[in-house]
Amino acid sequence: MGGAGGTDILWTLLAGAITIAIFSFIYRDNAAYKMAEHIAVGLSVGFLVVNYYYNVFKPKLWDNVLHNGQYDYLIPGILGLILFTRFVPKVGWLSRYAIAFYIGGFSGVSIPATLEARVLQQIEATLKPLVSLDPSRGLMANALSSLDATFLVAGTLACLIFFFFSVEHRGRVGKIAYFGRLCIMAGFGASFGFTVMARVSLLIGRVQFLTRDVVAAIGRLFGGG
Amino acid sequence: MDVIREILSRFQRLDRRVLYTLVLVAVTVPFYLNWPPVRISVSREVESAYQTIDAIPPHANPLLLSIDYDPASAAELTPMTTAVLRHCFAKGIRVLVISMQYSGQGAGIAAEVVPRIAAEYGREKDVDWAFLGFQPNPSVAILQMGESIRRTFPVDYYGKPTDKIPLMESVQNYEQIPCVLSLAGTAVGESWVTYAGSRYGLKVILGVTAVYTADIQPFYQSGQVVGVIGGLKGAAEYETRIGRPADGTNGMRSQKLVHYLIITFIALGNIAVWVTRKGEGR
Repeated sequence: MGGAGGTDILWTLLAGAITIAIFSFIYRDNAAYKMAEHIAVGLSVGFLVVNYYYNVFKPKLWDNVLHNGQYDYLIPGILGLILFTRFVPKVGWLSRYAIAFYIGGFSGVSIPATLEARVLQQIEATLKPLVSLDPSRGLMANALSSLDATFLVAGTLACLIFFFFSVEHRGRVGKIAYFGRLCIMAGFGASFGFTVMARVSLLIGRVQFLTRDVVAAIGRLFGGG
Repeated sequence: MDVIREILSRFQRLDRRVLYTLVLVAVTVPFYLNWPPVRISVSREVESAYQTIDAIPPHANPLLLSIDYDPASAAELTPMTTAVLRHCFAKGIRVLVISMQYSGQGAGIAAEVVPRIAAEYGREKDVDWAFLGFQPNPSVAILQMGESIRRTFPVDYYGKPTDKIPLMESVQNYEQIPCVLSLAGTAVGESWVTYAGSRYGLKVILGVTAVYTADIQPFYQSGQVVGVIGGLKGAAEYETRIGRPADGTNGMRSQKLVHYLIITFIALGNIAVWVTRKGEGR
């Protein structure tokens, strides 16, 4: 065991051991799980700090100010630094300037764009012709398309009425709100189904790693190939 | 009847560790037995993603591939990354890789996966593919790239000036990019729709974890997103479409078995509660 191959084997086995330590929590809380959890948290924070230093702080602030003479970069640098005044109660109010600048700038950038992408274009997509009469498509395709468009508009309106509380949900309004509730429940059901699939996928990923990579590393460790 | 009621009553008190063990067995067994059989049909969303990427001319302007996920989502999204890269490199489509994942771990994943798949097809770094590294603030970086990609990424991941990369010769901003594929386990994908799609008219394809698939669907229906690859199932569909089954397809066998197991236990649990309550006269 030596060189890059040996290092690979070591890291793979270590990752395998930490994976098993994390899974041991399923049986009960234990020291191995705690240790693996602390390693994961510590590594993540350490990675983040080092990564931001080399990829953000150094190229964007340090190099620009000290090597390129672009002193305007000091302004965001100072704004960033005064965020830390929150740790000193007497001058903590200074951090509000940085937060105000950030929130103001970000709102200006994101509100018009978000309104366009998430509201206007979505409303536009809901306002489709209810009846599809495309001559290039068959009768069945047109019928299904019409049904789809009608259901989309009806479902959207019913969901909006479900959240409209100025009128009591009785009679016809109650029935429409109930239909809206069914649509919302169908949406939640789809999300839940996808979530289950996502969680199982995570387990599949780890099992693939353990049964393929770790087993191969053990084989290489004992000279099996 | 009392015996059945007793069994079902015990079933309700089943130790959760038994369930965990059964799920683990259901996930593991298919890797060794290649069972149960799965038939993967390609959905409209994945077909649309495939067709959009397939329409990019070889050796011309590149597909922008944004690796916006961290290791926590790698189980679902790395099979997708691999399948799309295999599609591109097999066809000679150039790939410009970036990462907008906030902690920078996405860049680490890209640095491992992209060169490995490029080597499979003998594709050359900086000519057939380039990796520009990561930017931590997606919305600002996506907007800035609309003006100038070189100014957003002055050097690539390996420290080489972007101006010196042959693949970047004809690329200034989104006008030269046929489409972007963002592979994201968070809301970064929506930032691509909001800032690059709506504002600059860039075609956006999203590859997302299964959790986000339902949230992204309205963007596909409205045409704001031209294709969606959702979760491990989406990866398996893409692998099927390119005719190269890999981790996504293998994982679907386990998905199938675990889903059967979960449905069985949900049904049994409900029957147990119903029978027990009936016996108690409730």
